[in-house]
Amino acid sequence: MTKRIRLNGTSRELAQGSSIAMLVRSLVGEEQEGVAVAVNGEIVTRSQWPEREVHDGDDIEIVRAVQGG
Amino acid sequence: MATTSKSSAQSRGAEPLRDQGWRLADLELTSRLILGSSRYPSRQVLLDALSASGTQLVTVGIRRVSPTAEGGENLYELLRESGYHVLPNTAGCFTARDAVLTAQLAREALGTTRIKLEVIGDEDTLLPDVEALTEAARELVRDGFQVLPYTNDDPITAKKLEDVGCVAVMPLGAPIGSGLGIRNPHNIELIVERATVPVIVDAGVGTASDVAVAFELGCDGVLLNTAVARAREPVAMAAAVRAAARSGWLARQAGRIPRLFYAEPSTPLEGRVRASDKV
Repeated sequence: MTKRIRLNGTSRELAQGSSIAMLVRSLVGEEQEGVAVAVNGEIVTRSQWPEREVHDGDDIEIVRAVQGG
Repeated sequence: MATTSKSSAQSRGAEPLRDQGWRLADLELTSRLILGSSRYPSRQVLLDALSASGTQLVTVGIRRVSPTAEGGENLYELLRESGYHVLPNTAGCFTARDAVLTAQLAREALGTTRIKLEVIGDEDTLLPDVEALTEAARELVRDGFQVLPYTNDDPITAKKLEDVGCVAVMPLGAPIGSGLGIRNPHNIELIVERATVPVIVDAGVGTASDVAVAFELGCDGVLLNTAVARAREPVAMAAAVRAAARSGWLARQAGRIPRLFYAEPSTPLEGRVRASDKV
């Protein structure tokens, strides 16, 4: 059974058993410095990424620093 | 009559004023300029301009990672390797809720509790929504952030932001990116006069003289981006604003003369030559 989540505002399907760490890697590869994650409006710290399972219906934000004023 | 007002400054050997630097949030800084990292023609020009400005603190935005975007260079890494402190912002947030979450993400991403707090009220003016701004500031201070709010040039709002625990107040000179300079210098002066935290003019700078004016009004710092990034020669403009910051700061310390309505002769009137009425 797959899970339906919202990732950075876009609906997306995920395979069973995905962790936040896997999701981050799929998005940014190995260069994860300066990346942050929130799930359902709560920060998920870097150390929690491997254990934190992605649940059906999760609203996930994955961000990084960009140019800004 | 003997000469009465010969300057003695020369013989006293006027001591040159020196800026000993300042404290902003958790930082001890020598440069009083904070630069944005946006809208430069290239990464190299950005780095060269930052260097020419002498800044030590650079603002960055926080945005969703785009799945389509190429990895590219990591801006945060680039700035860190170049020795700059970063000041993340909450640009583009229209609600206190979005601004708070963005600040929390910034803290997690960049490992700093400093946040340039923006809560914008409308897309055309990009002016702050001061009610939501104050609410977000209060919440973030409670959460342990060092909040530097981008605010209106309103002394009452500035005071409220200070009262909720912001580590600085950053009134605008004019709308973001407008380059209109400091539209209400008197309000900036009022804010400076009553603030016990650093006052930083944020937004509105168009050219070097605007920076000088901010310091002459007593501001502790100036935050600018577009004025440098979109100048015809960004690196040259960065050097110009650096010189202006120093000039303005020195002038403030030196103490300007009061403004008078009428003229006051600088050459003494006594001993003037008078042509005879007789032919």
